[in-house]
Formats: sequence, structure tokens, C-alpha cells
Amino acid sequence: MAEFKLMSDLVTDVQRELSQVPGIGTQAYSEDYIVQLLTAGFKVVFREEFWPHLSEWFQKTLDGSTGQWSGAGVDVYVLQDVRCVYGPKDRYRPLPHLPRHINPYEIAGTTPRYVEGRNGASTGKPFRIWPLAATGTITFQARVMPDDEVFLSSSSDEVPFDDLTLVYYAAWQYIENDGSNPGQAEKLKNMFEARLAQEKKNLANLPIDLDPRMAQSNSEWVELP
Amino acid sequence: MGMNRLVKPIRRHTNAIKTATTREFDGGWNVIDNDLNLDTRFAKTLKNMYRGQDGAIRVRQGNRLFADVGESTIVNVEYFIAVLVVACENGKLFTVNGLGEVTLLFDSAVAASLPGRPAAWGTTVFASFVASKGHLIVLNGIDKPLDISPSLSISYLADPATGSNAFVPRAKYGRQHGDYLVLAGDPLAPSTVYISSKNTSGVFFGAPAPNDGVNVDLSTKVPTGDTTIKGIGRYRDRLIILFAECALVGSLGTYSGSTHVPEFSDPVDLYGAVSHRAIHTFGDDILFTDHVGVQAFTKSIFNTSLKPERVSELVDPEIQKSLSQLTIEALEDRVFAVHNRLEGQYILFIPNDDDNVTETRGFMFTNLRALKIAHWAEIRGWNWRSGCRSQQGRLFFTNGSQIFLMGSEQDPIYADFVGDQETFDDETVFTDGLGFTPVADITDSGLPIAFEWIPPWQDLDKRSNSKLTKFIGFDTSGTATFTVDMFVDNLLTDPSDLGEAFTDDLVFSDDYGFETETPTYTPSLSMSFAGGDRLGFGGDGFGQDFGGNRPSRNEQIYSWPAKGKILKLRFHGETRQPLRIVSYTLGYLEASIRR
Repeated sequence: MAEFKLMSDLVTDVQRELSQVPGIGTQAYSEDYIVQLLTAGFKVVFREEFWPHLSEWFQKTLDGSTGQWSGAGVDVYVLQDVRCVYGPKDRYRPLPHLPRHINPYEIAGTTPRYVEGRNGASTGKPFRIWPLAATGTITFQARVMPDDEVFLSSSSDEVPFDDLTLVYYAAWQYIENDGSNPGQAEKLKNMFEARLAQEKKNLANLPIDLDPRMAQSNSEWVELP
Repeated sequence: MGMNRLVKPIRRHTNAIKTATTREFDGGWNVIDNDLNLDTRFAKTLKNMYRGQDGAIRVRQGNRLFADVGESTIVNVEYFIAVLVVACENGKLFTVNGLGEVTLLFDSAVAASLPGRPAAWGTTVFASFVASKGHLIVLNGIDKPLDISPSLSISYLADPATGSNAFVPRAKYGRQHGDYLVLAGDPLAPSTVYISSKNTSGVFFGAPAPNDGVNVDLSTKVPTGDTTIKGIGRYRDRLIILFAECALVGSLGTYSGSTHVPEFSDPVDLYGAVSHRAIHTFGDDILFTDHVGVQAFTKSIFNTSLKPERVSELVDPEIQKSLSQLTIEALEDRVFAVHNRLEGQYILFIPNDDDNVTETRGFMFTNLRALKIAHWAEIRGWNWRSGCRSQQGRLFFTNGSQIFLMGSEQDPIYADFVGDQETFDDETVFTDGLGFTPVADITDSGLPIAFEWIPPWQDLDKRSNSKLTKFIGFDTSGTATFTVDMFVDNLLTDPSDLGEAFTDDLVFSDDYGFETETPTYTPSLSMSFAGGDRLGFGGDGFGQDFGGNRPSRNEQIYSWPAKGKILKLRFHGETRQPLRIVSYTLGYLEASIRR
């Protein structure tokens, strides 16, 4: 069984949870609303964590004048979705936020020093690098929201998140609005929270490298005994 | 946990959602009361649906082609000893047996074979029947009455002693009452009743003795309006002579010496009749129709006199609307009623035009005293010239030269004109409401019955509070598909609808189009469902492999989100399948008084 489900399948799961008559096209008035709730649920959990399967690495070359790279943007629109930005040759230290109490125009040189968030809705460039004259290739990781197409009930693309988390969220919101059976609403809320916690906890299953400079494999020159 | 902050804390409550089930529909059709203040027992519109004996609102029965006499328009039909006797516009009479086989009963050749070689009936637009002493008398107000014997031999009604019909009046209608045949409607003496000699049918005043026949001119006894007799009725031991605006209640059998002296001493003002064919007596009721609506006489509790009663008060405006389109002659000739003995119904039919009739609008009154049921419904989509009831209680109707049999509970027919017309593949018909004819396959033929039921506005007991409806559910049976619309806050129709435009999309110079009978409704919600007996996925027939619709007998819920202070539902559709709606349930939240 696939991990992810189509939006239409998620809608049916929510309808079953709500004791509504399930089936495509059966609920003329609840389906659009359930799609809206599932989409909202996805957006909520999307920002909850940098989910590996929704994150990507990007490498871009700065244009040396605007603090941004030349060419096309990426499918990331706000700095909140960017996990880290590295300057050229930076290996262990990501660039910090532009401090609030600094005049950025007085920062001289061409080495990237700070990151400042921008509205990337139209450009696909959610930040710029100070000094604006900085040059070289920057590397950053960001979570990428799936295309809107995924969230259509007619989509043939799966919604890339754990189905139970989304179904519990949507059913909880729906039944809370209906005002029927508070116990069931409470149950769904608890199940949503437990399932989300479970997902986050499982992210930590791999060993965590406490000091990235001490690599687990021999990727660097070492002196053999 | 961070997620908690995403949801605004709300006040805890217990089951705030309420449900309201509506399942008493015994009021029937009601156009008198304002539907903003009408009980849900009543319906503002009830077309081709009625409250059945089981309490559910159901689609009416359809009909199927029974026989076709072929050559002339049928003006009236009557059941007589296992056959239907049919009177046609060309003056011919036919019989139709239970197999639908047509046999000529009377024409010029048959007339010529009778003693004296009389002429046959000429062209007639009217005929009426009266059963008398085991015979069936046929009258038309132009020619001399005909007499059909139990062996289905026919002759002119005549004095059996002399064989002469010289004194038999050219009456238009009659009634057997006690030992007497009473005729009236003679165009030369419109206010005279002709009462036969005791225990005879063909012996009238003037014929040789023994003869106590008597003619009574009632014009001097009519207290109100026109003195032309419109019809004759009978109620228990009383003879009722109906005029346009009054009724005379009389009794026969009183003699002064050897002279029969009928008494007409009880006039009832403003209760009259428009058509003899709309007068029906059954049990403790006599129902008849005048210019106001359907009236009844019942027995007074305190004395032996009759008590008049208007039984159609709830739908009188609609009956008056239909009657007002017709001339006096059309009212006399074309308005008729049948009595459905099996379901206790009086069905009144009123044509929509004097000559070019395209529809006879039906007003169905179900009156079951034992069950305390009395309600009205509207019947649409038919164009009948006449109708009758068989001994078994089956109803037959005629249109043109065709005779149709109406379905019954025991032999249901769920479509109209089965065997005569059929639909396109998509179940639609021509714009004039007619289908293809002749049909390719009788079993799959018939036109869908268009039905509509609009209950009144509901405020769910809290008129001033807003209501947020959340779900809807039904108890239904049958397999028909039906659509449910919901309206809120008195927003029923589109006020900007100026009427129907011409085919080139132009309207009249005053910017209005044709007035349409069906307004442009503006539902807040609309959804279609299938009757509770629909099998659904995998079980339905070809073209409905996936179930075809939303089953309406499912205890899971259907979302039904709307907001309003008052709510109204509308059930409608077209079907060739059965449907009964037993109840509907709304789940809702009660909100504040602010809309």
C-alpha cells in the first residue's frame, strides 16, 4: 500500500470518518469543504518540520549586484521555508540572518555575510545576500510546496504526506464546526496530534551526528596507525 | 504541542446539533393560507403527488393504452356489465371488453334495423349515462335517449307498452332515484325535470295509462340565479337538482290520490353545479362542482335536512382560476369528475380551453372519513375528455379515440401513456410534452410523470433565530430519482425573471416575456437522490452500473450546509418509476438572531 494517497481518496476517508455517505460526487456540499480542510491540514504540517521528502538542495551563482542569483527562481517563496544558506566553500557554518541593528549598505566586500528574507512570490527568490555585491555560488536547502494541482480532488498526483495525519485533521475541523459529538471531536484532535508527533519522532531514527566535522566514514585524509 | 495554538479555543458544548423530522403530510395541497405561516402538514404545491393511505407523499399512478375505437373522438365512457360503453362525437356507440376488443354497438345501420327504422344519433359533443333498472340509458340533449339492455342490445328508450318514444324527452342527463328515472337538460325546457312513471324507464308524462309520470318546471322554485338545470344528483333518499347558483333538495314517491307529487321544498342557496358529469354520490357524500369549487352535502346531525359544505376551500382559488377560462357551454360539456373507489378519491378534471384543449387539469380530493383523511392534490400532464370507473374500481379515461387504464395499487403503472407514447433515449420528450408514437416496445414505453412537492416555509420553532443546516436525510421507498432544492429566507424565485422570451431571445416592448407557469427558482442548495429501493452500485440496470445516484434511505448523512431563518424544501423530478417520501430530516445548529 502506497504511503501517500490521492486527494479523492483522502476525501473518501474523511467522509467515512464523519459517517457521511462516501463516494465520488456523492456529497455535493461537503467535498469541496473537505478538500479545503485537507489542503489546510497539509499546509499546517508542511511548516511544522523540514520534512526530508519535501525538502531540496539548491545551488545558485550570485549576480554580484542584487544579492540574488541570476536566472530562474525556485519553488520557494518565503524565508521560513529555507532551512540554511551556505556561502561559497562554507562547509559547517550557514550564513546568519541580517542583524536588525546594522546598516547593510555599509557592509563592504564580495564575500556573502548575511541572509535577508524577501517576498519571493513572483520571483522564486525568497532571500538576498548581503553585501549585495557578494559573488560566488551559494547553496541552500528549502522545503518545496507541491503544485496546487495535487490538492484538486480530480488530481492523479498523490498528496505527499501521511494520510492519517491529514484525515484526522480534516475530520476534526469538520466535526468541530458541526458542533456534534464533542467527544468525537476531541478524539480526532488527539489522534491528529499523536499521529503528527509520531511522524516527527520517526524523523530522529537515524543516528545524529553531534559534530559534523567528525564524519562517520573516511571521507578525509587520515593517518593510519 | 504547537498545534494547539492553531485552533481557537471554543466553548465546550454537548451535541449542539439538532434534528427536525417532518413526516405528517395529511393536510395536502393548500393555496389559501400564506405559506410563511402554514403547518408542514400542508403543501403549497403538490403536483402529480399525493398523500397516500400509508401517510407518505407519493407519485400518482400513470396509465396505459387499453383500447382505441379508431374513428372518432370519444365524448363519454361508462362501465356497464363487464364492458365499457363508449359514445363518440360522430354519434356512434361502441363497447370495449376486458381484452380491449372494440365492438360497434350503435350507428345508422343498427338504428335502421330497429322497428320503425329510426335515424341514428347525429354529431354530438356531449353524452351522459344513467343506469336504470339494469339498463344503461345514454343521453346527449339533442337526440332521443338510447337504452342498452343487459345483453347489450340497443334501442331507443321507449314506452314498453307502445314502443313509442314520443314522450321521452331529449334530455341531456338523468338520475335513477328510487322507483323513478329522472331526466333533465331538455334544451326546450331547461328548468323542467321529467320524472318517469313508477317502476319504468321509458314511460313519461303524456304516454298512455298506466302512467303516473310527471313533468315539473322548477323555475319558480329557484331562489338564486339561472333556472337552467345543470345536473341531477342523489343523496340517500333525496333527489338533488342543481342549478348554477343553488340546489333544490327534493323527494319523490309522495302521491295525491294516484297523482305523483314530487316535493322540492328545500332550496339551498349558493351551492350549485357547472356540470352534471362532475356530480358523484358515494356513501355519506355527494360531491359536485360549481363556480366556486367542490361542494358537498352531508346529513345534518340535528334534523333530517342536508347540510352544505365547501370541501375545496383550501384549493378554491386554483379551481376558480381553471373554471374562469371556460364558457358556460364548455363547463357543461367538458368538466367532469371520476370517483376512485379504491382510494376514496374524487378527481375533478377541467380543460384548459373551450376548443383547443391541450390539458385537463385535475384536482384530486382524497376523502377517507374512517381515517380522518381529507386532502387535495393537483394532477397535471393529462388531457382527458371523459372517464369512468369499473365494477372492480379501475379507472378508465379517454383522449381522442383512445381509452387508457389508470394504474392502481394492485396493478401499478408508473408512467403515462404506456403503449401509446415513448421517450427519446435520454428520457426526454418533445417540447409539447408528447412522446414518439407508435411505440417500438410496449413494455419499455410510456412518458415520465413530472412531479413537484413544495412544503411551506419552516422556522424550526425559532422564527427569529438563524439556523445553520448541516445535513439532510430521508425515509423513502421506490426507485425513482428526485431532486431536492432548499430555499432560505423567503428567497424562492428570481424577481429579475421577466418571463420567457421568444425563440429569438426577444421580449415584448414592455421588456417582459411570456408569463411562465414554472417560475425561475433560486435554491440555496440542490441535490438529487434516488428512492430507497434503488439497488445502487452493481445492482442497477444498464446505464446505471455505478448506482446512478445518491441513495435516500441511508442512515449515513448527507452534507446540507446553508444558513437562514426560515427554510423551505422543494421535491421535484420526472420519473417512470415509483417513489414515496415518508419523511425528511434536517440536522441544524441554532444560531443567534442576527442573520
